[in-house]
Amino acid sequence: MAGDLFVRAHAGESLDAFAGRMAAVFNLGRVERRESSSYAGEEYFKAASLSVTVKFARADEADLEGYDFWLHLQPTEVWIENPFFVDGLADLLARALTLAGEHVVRIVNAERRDSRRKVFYEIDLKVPRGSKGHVVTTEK
Amino acid sequence: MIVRASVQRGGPRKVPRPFLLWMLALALGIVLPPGPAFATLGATTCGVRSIHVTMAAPIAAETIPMLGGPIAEIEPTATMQVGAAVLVRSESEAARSSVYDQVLVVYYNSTNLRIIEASRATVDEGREYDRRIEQADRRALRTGGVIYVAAPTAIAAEAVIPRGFASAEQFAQANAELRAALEASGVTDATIGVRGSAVTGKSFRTGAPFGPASDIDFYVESEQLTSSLQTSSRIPGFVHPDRVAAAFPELAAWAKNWSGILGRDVSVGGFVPGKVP
Repeated sequence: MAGDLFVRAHAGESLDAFAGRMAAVFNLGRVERRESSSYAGEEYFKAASLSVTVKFARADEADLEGYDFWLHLQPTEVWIENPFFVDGLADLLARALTLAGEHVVRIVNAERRDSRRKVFYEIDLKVPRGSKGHVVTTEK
Repeated sequence: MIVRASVQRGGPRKVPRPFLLWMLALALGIVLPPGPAFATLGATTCGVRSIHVTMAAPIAAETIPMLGGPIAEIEPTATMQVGAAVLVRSESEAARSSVYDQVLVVYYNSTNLRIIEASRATVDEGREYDRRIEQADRRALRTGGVIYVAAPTAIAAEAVIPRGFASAEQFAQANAELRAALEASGVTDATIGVRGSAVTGKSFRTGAPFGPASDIDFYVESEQLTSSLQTSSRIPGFVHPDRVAAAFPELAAWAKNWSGILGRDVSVGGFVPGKVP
């Protein structure tokens, strides 16, 4: 019941700057810095909006080169019956970030070693912006 | 940085696998008391720098012949509470009941002195276990037995509990509830611990002291928990807490509940057995 996106950093971009930039893109409110030994660099940032908690951290994926930051979505204080809802939200955000010029990959079932799938996003310039097929996905 | 439980005089030691030892005990025909209370605590490393075992009175080897040595020689794991005082069965009943209102009944292998399993019990229940073991099967006295560990109310000074917890009792409660959440998730081979600045007092990377922005990072060392989960590229054998939460809703619920209680983020990561740094 989570969504996981991985985004390529802008040149020399810090995690702090990335979190701030994402917060601006998605109109998130207060972004809080947290410290935890579970995260690369022992820090992450988090914000909450629309009953979803968003965490920004450095990527820690063995099989994903070139994507520096991790954007993790999970419900805030609620239980939802449909476990795919948050992943669907992640897909929406991935498309929005792609439209904004970011390089994004979404990992479905990111926690599962054997069933995880990577979904890469690209823009098809031949298709009108915002219409079906403008942002295309490729699974690997 | 992870700090594991150890006695003062020795370095960190390998924590035994309670479940395997439990199965071994069964295979050897050792009589162990049944019931859910027996499995409520399990092995918990507590993630402390050291465990100071304060004895109610000096205990000589001859006092506990079946142990073959002082109680402090026993690898504590965390079945012994942090800073716990220890009273053995050979102490007088009067002293036991007047000082201790509760006990941990700890079953150990007297051959290698490894603790098999432990459960919280009242003093009366502890006495009953004593009686059952002594009367039912003498083999139990050769290959197992009962020692008494004081309840948190009797914990001596120098107790070390992770930062962020108000007391040893609260930490024990969190551990017990996490153990229950693991069992509800089908995870019965877990060793629980805490790592990071809640244990060391400061950030490994920056040296900043444990503060309001610091999380409490629990970990669970378990094959059952980690066997199908993606591990970290940064820490071998480590499963990130967000991965654990996604796969085990009961653990996610435990973390949310304790985050609310403690007023800071609490999470549960995973380690493949043998990979805890």
